[in-house]
Amino acid sequence: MSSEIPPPQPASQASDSDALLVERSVAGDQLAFELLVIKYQRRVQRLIGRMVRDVDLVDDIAQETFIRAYRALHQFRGDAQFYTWLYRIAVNTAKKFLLELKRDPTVSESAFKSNSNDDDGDETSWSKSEPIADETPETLLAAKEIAAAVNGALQALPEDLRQALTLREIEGLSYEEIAEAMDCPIGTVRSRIFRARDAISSKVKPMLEKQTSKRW
Amino acid sequence: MMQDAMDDRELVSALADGQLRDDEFARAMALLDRSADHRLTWHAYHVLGDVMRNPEGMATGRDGAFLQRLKLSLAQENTLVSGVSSPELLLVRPCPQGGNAPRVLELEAANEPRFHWKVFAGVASLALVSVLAWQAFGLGDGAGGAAQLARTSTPTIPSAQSSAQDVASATPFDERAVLMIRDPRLDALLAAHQQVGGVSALQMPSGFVRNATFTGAGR
Repeated sequence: MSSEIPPPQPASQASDSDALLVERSVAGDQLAFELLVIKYQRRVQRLIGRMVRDVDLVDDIAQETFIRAYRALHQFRGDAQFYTWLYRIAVNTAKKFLLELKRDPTVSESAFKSNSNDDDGDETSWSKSEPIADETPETLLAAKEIAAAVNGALQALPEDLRQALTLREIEGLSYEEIAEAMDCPIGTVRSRIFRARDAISSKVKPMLEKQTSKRW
Repeated sequence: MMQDAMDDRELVSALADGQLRDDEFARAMALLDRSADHRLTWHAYHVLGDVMRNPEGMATGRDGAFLQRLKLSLAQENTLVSGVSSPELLLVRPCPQGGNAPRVLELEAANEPRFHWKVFAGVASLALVSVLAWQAFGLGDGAGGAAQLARTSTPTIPSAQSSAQDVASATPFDERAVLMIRDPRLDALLAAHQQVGGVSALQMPSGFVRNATFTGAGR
């Protein structure tokens, strides 16, 4: 076992998976694109929510972002991570949208955020405590319930499962890196991460299903 | 059976981490395609990851509606792409505060090919002017141009229908066909005039119009 854990690396394996999903999407498999949407939707909405206050506008811009990405999928060469590419589209779309809105005299300044004119930069530079787009009390409560369920289930996990999942989801380590850090085979890493997710998702799935009211 | 279900969910988990290739990848995609429960599993796995990275919580209540709306837009997108090659604009106009009408904003995809209408209009105008100038040049090109204008290739009086066919079948730059729209009544009058006088219709013994007498090929 190495004496120190290497710094978080870009999740190259996840990007390989994204590249495969993009490849299938370009070939006409719309499910593959939908899987990418489900994977990155909240992240894109969160990004846009830092620029636009109105939650409906956030959704409109996020919709447009994914539609533009869908149109341009054949141009994604896989030399960068898919989310990096998607991030650029989201920022450009939001900026264009905001320019259009600012030209509209009927739209008040309260629709925008104070940092909407900032260069896109790194989304991690924004304060995580900064509130995102205004949500309704119901959605905020639902979000808190899910967060509570996830955190509670995470704390209830055996240590090895919690550690494997944390290294994967928060530190962004690859399976190989986690195997090295935890001194176990890669197959064990895969199993531990799955069992951790399975335990947590069993609490979350009913809540998600209730919120979305229908499966896709 | 429970083990199979667990194996399937493990496959979805591994797919989320980019661990699958070839057969396993294809199997996972087939599983997600046929099972709404496994698609919900995919959704849940990514929500829990998002929550772990954002402890204050992630709003997920709009996830289902968001995807349904996107699927509808993509279906329309595919219909348009299959039928029309021009880029499609999504019209989104911000609605007044408090309104529930769908918002529409004029945006063009950043990578959409642009059709330069102004350039096209300019080129078309230039082409039109060129054609008109060509025609004018041909008309004003000395007395020979006028004679060419008068001379026709048909010995008989053409009917209006065949005249139209001559014009229709002419090449774009066949100036005689473009310029010579035959009038059968005129032809008849000219023929009758020729039979009577054999002189210029202008009745003017002027040198410059001497050669302009209508003789017609083959008459």
